[in-house]
Amino acid sequence: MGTKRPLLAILSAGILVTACGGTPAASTAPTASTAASAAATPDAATKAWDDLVAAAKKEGELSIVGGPEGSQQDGPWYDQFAKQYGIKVTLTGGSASDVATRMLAERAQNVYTIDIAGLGGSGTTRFLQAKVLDPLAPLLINPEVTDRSKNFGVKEPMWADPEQKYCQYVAIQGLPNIGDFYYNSQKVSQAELDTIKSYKDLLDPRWKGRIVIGDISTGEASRDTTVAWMVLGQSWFDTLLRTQAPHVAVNGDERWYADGVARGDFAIALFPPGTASLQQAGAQGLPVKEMTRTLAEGAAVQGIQRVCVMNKAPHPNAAKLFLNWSLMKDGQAALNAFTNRTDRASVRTDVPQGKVANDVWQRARSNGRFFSDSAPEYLKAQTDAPKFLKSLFAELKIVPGK
Amino acid sequence: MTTPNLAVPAARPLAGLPRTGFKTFLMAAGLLVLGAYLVYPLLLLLVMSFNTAPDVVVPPYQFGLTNWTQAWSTPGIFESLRNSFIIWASVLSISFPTAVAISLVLARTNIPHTHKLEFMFWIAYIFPSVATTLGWIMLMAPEWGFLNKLAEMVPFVEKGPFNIYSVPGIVWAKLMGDGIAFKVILLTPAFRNMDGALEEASRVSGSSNLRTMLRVTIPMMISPIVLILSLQLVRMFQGFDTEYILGAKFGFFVYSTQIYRLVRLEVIPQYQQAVVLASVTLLLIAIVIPLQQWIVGRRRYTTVDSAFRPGLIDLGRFRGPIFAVIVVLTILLTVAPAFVIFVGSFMARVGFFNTTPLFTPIHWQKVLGDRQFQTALATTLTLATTAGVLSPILFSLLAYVIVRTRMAGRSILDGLIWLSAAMPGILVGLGLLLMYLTTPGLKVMFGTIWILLIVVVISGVTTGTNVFKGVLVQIGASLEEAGRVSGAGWIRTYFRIVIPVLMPTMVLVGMLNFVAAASMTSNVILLASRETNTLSILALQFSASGANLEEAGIISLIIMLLTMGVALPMRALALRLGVRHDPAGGHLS
Repeated sequence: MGTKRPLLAILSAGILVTACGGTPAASTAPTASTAASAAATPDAATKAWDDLVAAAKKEGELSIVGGPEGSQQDGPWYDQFAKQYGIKVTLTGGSASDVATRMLAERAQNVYTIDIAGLGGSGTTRFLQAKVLDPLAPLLINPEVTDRSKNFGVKEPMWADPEQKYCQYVAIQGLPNIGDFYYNSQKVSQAELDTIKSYKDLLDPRWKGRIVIGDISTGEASRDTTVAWMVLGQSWFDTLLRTQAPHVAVNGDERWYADGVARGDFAIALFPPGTASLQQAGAQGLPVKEMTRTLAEGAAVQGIQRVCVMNKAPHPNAAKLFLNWSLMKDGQAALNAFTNRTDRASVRTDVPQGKVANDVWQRARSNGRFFSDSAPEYLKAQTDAPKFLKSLFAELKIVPGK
Repeated sequence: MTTPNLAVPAARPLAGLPRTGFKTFLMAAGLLVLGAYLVYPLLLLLVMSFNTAPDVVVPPYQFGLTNWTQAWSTPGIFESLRNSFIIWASVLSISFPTAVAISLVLARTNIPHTHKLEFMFWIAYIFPSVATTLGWIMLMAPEWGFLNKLAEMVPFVEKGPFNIYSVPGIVWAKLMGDGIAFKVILLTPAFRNMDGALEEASRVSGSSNLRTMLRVTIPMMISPIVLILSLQLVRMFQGFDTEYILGAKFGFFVYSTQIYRLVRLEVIPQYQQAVVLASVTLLLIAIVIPLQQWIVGRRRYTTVDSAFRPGLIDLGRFRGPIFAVIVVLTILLTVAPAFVIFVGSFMARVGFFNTTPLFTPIHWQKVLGDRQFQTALATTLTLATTAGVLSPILFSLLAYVIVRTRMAGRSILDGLIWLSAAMPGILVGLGLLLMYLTTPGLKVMFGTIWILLIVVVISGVTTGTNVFKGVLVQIGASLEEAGRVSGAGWIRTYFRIVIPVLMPTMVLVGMLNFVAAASMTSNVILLASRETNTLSILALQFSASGANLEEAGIISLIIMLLTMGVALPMRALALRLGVRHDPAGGHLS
């Protein structure tokens, strides 16, 4: 099984690439000049693109750093870029804390080793605060990506930073609800499940002591917490923590959280530290299921998988080429064909579904509410929620892991 | 009873070397290089602790005392200090007498299969402490632990009595981890270097075997005992894995957990405050250095000289029962982690017996098929082998200089070696990163395997050197004098006489450093590049997301098998080359 999947993926990718007419660098040259910063006419745009490809090939290398999941799961996608342009891609990664510390310490001593950063929230925040990222707008030159009016599900650039300058999401995640919601199907009867019409129903006494959450006081599950704060408000969190006595996982302990749900220690799982382990438990035949029914608060669509370009990158042309490729048809088709992540799909709509599951594909193209990371109300909630939660955790003496 | 007069001529400066000028230069150069390497990262960290910039690695830097005041106002900090002490004292009070007793039995008595039993403790030590802890969770988890389920089958027992998520549970898991095994493998070689004539004299004077052990053997072994106790003392606040895995479940946090939180769980790691908290170990070191120097220096403990006579105490009718007790203990120490690691590596999800399928080779396929695996394996073998070979030579030389010479500055060298143990690995990694990045000569090595080679060879310096010190004070100068009288220079004497006598310890320290290098993460994680990734870092990357714990466990298993593959032949070699202790062995072989 483990060997068949990559094999199938490679075969399907081969078919895909063939279907797309192959992907030699020249064939991706732009056919229009819209908004191409370096080019005023189609010919100029094509020349600018070809020059970029040539310069990137001359550099011959691209260094990418990812977070714990990205460095494990996204390698095959990056490999497609390497294959298409003949550029050696080096992917490093691990704990965001270690990765960011090392990169920032290197840069403080004028050592520059990384071109592209694909870290999660905390690592990206550190890079933004340290001002080590380049603005993306001048680097996006291929009309396939500068014109989002036709072939993108979300028409505006999906910025992943408050200033809307430095990082963009290259994948989209459609959730049936405003946040990840899992449950143990042996500990929650169908009748009980049917009583849940809204997140507010989770405040019913019947769920007291049966819910597990991530350590939201430390910024864990930041996206879900922020969105829930925007939709449900402070009072919902206040009641949840005061009256429902939820179990709280230690920050980052995704496995303990998922195992507890699988074992039946917890019936309902909200604000998870990560979903890979939950999904894996379900796939292994354990009674872990996602709440796929949309509750009263509605569905949500959100950006996922950041791409940022480091300033003073050792291979600036390869970095620029990769940034464009990640949002172009080739890169997006490769994302669908080679991703090892089961929860996301391309942001483009003009590429094949690849190995993205039908439900994930459909939800990503649904009309769920789009929550932009860089919207002012989102940023406000992102600041307010942890502040309140930290003080409430302290007041209620909540001990994660108990 | 007065200690027998075992005095031998005082240790003399290294004979065979040119006189003072060259020796002084040699010592000064050695001190400078080693001191810089050992202390510079520590100094960088201490300076950094005054940096009040939001992100410590991002300029511009600002300096002030805020970190020192804020760190001590961390909620629960004093409670966690107390908790650390409780765990440390509980583990030590059980493990130390147990380890001394077992080492005495293994080294000084005619117990059968002594070397096989000793090797079982090596294996217990080789098992990663996390695997041991997970093993005991599977056995003693309150609701579903195997032993509790077994107990509940007994009539009238409604609920299994075991709870690994408790203070006694943590103490038990630590004892079953390396709490006992580490001390046994360090003490046994030292106990073997005991002159049987001394015990024989005691018995001839009418003392029983027990009295002989208490009044002769243990006092003679005070130097390795004190050194190992000192090593335990400086690590009082550094125990982490077991305490974190088990303690977090019932809100029991130890001091190292607070350091971990500051470094790992803040969006911007608070290394500065973590250094402040970790600096309490400096206080312990300030106690340890003079204490161990005083105890080791106030009397001589020579037990191996040219008149060395190995000899074993007859256990008589207790031989069988004592053998059985030690066998049971070694089974306890090895079976739980072995079960978790071997069986768990083939389970779809460790700890779950209701998955579909229950067993699968998929985790092995994933590890062996990982694009980084082969590189990591090659790097790990290179690092571990280098550390296993070079570390014992380097550390024995350092110990030799400290214990056997009167060179000026040897106390400073000793102090520097102790100081290097002040910071936990989670912070040492950053100190080393800053050192390599800010030192011009070292910066060129950044990103290469050379940097990792240096780190792994030197990282076990405190334990390794002190183990050698403990053994060297037992070896009389008469052995070297005999060599020098025969015309050998100090280098020839060192390699032809001292090293063979030290051989079991050389192998022990080599194995310890092989294991440490093969499983090292925190010291090297900020220094390794993709080309120099190690298996342990790969395991960390697998486990970081939580979805691939089984893969991380398989890598631990591979590291363990590598270690055993090296330890077995090395140990066989040591037994051939070292001093024989059975009556047939006679004098130094």
